[in-house]
Parts: sequence; C-alpha cells; structure tokens
Amino acid sequence: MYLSEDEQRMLDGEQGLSVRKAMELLIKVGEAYGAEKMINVSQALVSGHLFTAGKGHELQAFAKIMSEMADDAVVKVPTSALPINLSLRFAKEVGLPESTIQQEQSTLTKRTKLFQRLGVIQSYTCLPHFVYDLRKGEHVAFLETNVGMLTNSWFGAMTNLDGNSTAIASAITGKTPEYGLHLPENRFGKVLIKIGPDLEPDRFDYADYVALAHWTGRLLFDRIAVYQGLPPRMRPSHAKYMCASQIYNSAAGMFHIVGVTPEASTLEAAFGGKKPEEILVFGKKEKREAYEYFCTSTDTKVDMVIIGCPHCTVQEIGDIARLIDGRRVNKDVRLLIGASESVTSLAKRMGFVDIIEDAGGLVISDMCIRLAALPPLSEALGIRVVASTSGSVAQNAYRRSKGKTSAWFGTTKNCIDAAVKGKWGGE
Amino acid sequence: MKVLLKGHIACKGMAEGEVLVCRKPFMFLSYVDLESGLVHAKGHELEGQNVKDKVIVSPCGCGSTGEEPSLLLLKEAGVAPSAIITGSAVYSPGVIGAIIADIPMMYGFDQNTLGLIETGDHAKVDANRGIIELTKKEA
Repeated sequence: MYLSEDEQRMLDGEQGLSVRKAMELLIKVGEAYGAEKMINVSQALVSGHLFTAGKGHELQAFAKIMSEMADDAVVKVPTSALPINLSLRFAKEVGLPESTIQQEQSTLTKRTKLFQRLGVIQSYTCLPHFVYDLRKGEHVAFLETNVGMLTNSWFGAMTNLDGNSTAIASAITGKTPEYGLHLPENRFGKVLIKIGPDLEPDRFDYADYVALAHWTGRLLFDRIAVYQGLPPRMRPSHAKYMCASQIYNSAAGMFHIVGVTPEASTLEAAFGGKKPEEILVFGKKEKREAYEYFCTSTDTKVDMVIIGCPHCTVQEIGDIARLIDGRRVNKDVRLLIGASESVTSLAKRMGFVDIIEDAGGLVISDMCIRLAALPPLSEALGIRVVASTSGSVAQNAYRRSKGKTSAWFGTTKNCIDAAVKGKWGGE
Repeated sequence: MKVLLKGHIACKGMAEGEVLVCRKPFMFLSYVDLESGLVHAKGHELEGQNVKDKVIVSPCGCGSTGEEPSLLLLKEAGVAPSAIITGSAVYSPGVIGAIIADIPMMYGFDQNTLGLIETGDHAKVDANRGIIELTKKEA
C-alpha cells in the first residue's frame, strides 16, 4: 500500500504510540481490501462508551485496544461520539442499585475527561447529523451502521461502515484506506425495489419504513438497493429508520431512493447506467410479513415502550407529546423516549418533555435507549414484553434475551396507545 | 475428494476445521451466544450448532456496530471460530472484527464456488497464501 511521507512518519511513531498503532490498524484493513492508498477524512464518529469499559466489563479487552489509540493522541478532524450504554438519570429513575449508579458516576467523570483531552465533541447520539456539516462527496469515517448508512444514502457523503477501532484510528490520523464506499464505482445500485399498488407510501409511518427496509434487507445479501416510488416529501427521519432496519440482515452500507437521495436523481443515475440485477415488489403481503417478523409476543400486556432507536428528532418528540397530551402512562408500563441532549433540550423548551414526563413517560438523553430492552438491563427491570417503533429494538430484545423478552412492533400511535392502556392493540 | 479454492486475504493466518455453512448473511452478534459459541437465534438455519473451532462460511456479514467486538469476545471466551470465509467483504465491521480478534479470514468467492462448500466438509485455510484446501465429506 502506498503511503505518503506524512503517513509514513505516523507509522514510524513520530506522532506517538497511539498514532502509530492507528496507522498499523488502518494499513491492515487497507491491505485486506486491496486499497492502493490512504485518503483524508474530514470528520469522524467514535464510540461513546467503549473507551471506558473498565475492569470486569466483558468488553475490557476490546476497550484496551481502543484506549491504546486514545491514550497518547488528540483528534485531527471534527469527531463526535455515539450514545453511552447507561445514562445516570435513567439509572436513578428506574431504580438501579446504588452501586451501579456510583460506578456510572465515576465512568462519566472519566469519559468527560478523556473526551475533553482528545477533543471529541460529546454529542452522545446516533443521530449526529446536527453536529456535522456534511456535503455530498465528502470522505468521513463514521462508526455505527445506521449513521454510516444515513450519511452515505441521504447526505451523499462517503463512509464505510467503520469499526469502533478504525473510527478512532481515523479520528486521530485523519486517514482511512481507500476502499469500499469511498470509491464511486462501488456506490451504484444493484436491486430495484418497487412499492406495490396496494400500498399508499404517502401515508407511511416510521414503522412502515422499518418494515420496508427489513423485508428488503432479507433479500439483498451484499447488494445496494434502489427504492422507487417513495414520496418525494419523505424526510431523513424516515430514512434513518430504514437504515437501522435494512443493515440487520444485509451487508451494503447504503441505498438509493429515486428522486429523493442525492446520488439517485434518476433511476439510471442510481444504477450507474446498468440494468437492475433483480426487481422486487413490496406490497401489502410483504409489509404484513415484516410486521409479523418483529411481533414475537403473544401476550398483549406490555411492560415497556421504547421510541428513539435511532434517536428521536425534536419533531418526533413533538408528535409523541401530542399523542400523549391529557392521558397517563399505565402504572405497569415504562415509556422511554431516547434522544440526544441537544434535541432533548430543544424539546424541553418546546414544552414537549414536560407533557411526556407529566404523563409518566421518561425522555432520556445520551443513552442508547434500546439497551433498556436487552439483557442485562431487561433482566434487572423484569421486562417480559416490549413495544417499539424500532425493528432493531423488537428483534434484538427477542434475540438477545433468547426469547425471554418478546416484542410488539408498530406505529408511534400504536406504541403510545399501548403505553397508556398497558395492552398492545396495534395491527 | 479435495478441492482447492483461491481467494482474497482479509486476515492472515493458518487454520483448519469442520465447515459450518450459512446460506444467508451471517452475524456472530445476536445469532451466537458469545459465551458458549452456540447459535441460539430461534429459527436460524444454524440454530443449535456451535461456532467453536469451526470454519464459518457465509455469503457476507451483516448486523450492527456490535459485530466488530463480538469476534474478540468469542475469542476471549475460547469459543471463536477457527476461520471465517465469506463470499464478499462488503460488510466491513465483520472484516475489521476478524482483524482485531486475529481470526484468519478469506473472501472473494462467487455463489457457485460457495455452493461447493457444505456443512461437514473439512477446510484447511491458508490465509497467508490465500488458498483453501477443502476435503468434501463422505457422500
């Protein structure tokens, strides 16, 4: 692999051990993909919690690899952080043991110090697009499959789905190997997805976008999807739900939506002038299949409702506030809304947070809120049945608990109704 | 019967073992219990099998950010696969995870080649030279 003088010096250790380790890793990954050279990245996104996974934590060995790249460096490009795995406020509100709360307090102090020294923007969100000013064609190094997909698909900026390790390596070197989705020829669509005439995409809820992308993801393997027939007025918040859903069963780090996303002004542009390898139609039957896949519960009594995986926008929190205004969350249900601190504080100013919390819900910032539905938290909280607008919450709650927690999946309205009634009544 | 397959090297190393084939994109996170190596996902085509010391073959990876550390977790628990073979390397977190955990990995096989490999075959993976020696199971 060709290295510039500057890159060679980093590899030689002139900028310290962390930068050297980072270059060694990036070269290994580059060689794996047959990359010819490194390219500059202008922004990066790193893990929010792995650096501080200390003694006794199952990810300690992995965290050590990450820390070696953080100990002796500062970030070279604007870098923000993904959500943390436990928020102090959440731990207190749901009544986790005092020892857990104290441990979290000390982790928080450590993390803040580390990120201040590294220069990482402490955004703690999987919806960091408010932090960055991305432009089409810009090369970035973003960890997190969902964020990476949205960055590629919606913003037309170029990133591979980076690992926790390569993301920090890119942050402190400003480099990534040139491979995968950094190369324009790898960004064309292969499979065309049409919306059946028996569906009304203009009326799609977030959950319908989740269902669409999930059903598609199960048939894509490693190919890039091109969606045709989605409403031109669809928003990034719809697309973020598609990203989180599609990647769970397929490999490609982006998709196109004809007439909506920047690399798909036309069908021809999305396919690079080639013909689709396969054409699939998502109709009512396929939508039903996807909903059924996520709904693993037979018990309609719901213990927890989660909205905010990926993190909510301020508009979504507003929608939730309107749906719950004047009602009360059932005493046997926890309603959890997840968002970034910046979105949460906007939602507070708008009065949305007060409405939701006065009704008995909780708006939790900074935290990867879906973890509340997965072991070990789901066990600590005794969660048997969870309801969510997120396919990721629904399927992971079930899979990771080995079936001990089951799930309902549906629209925001279905979920808020379930939180109020304590029973699932969705489709 | 022996078959020689040539591919790209994602992570160097030598390994061998019994082959476990998944015909759909495969992730270790969520499908596999990271403490025991057992595929515990209900209804999964490999449900009940263990990835420990196996050569895992699939068309590509899939999953989420957690896929990268999950390979190191399997290794730490002593239940890691001996090698990983994928059709394509499009799912980068899986490749980076293999590199971090130092598990020999090769890719670059089309559907026809992958179709030759079946669960129960024995594979010698030379990911230093990019060659897999596949011994087909007795018919």
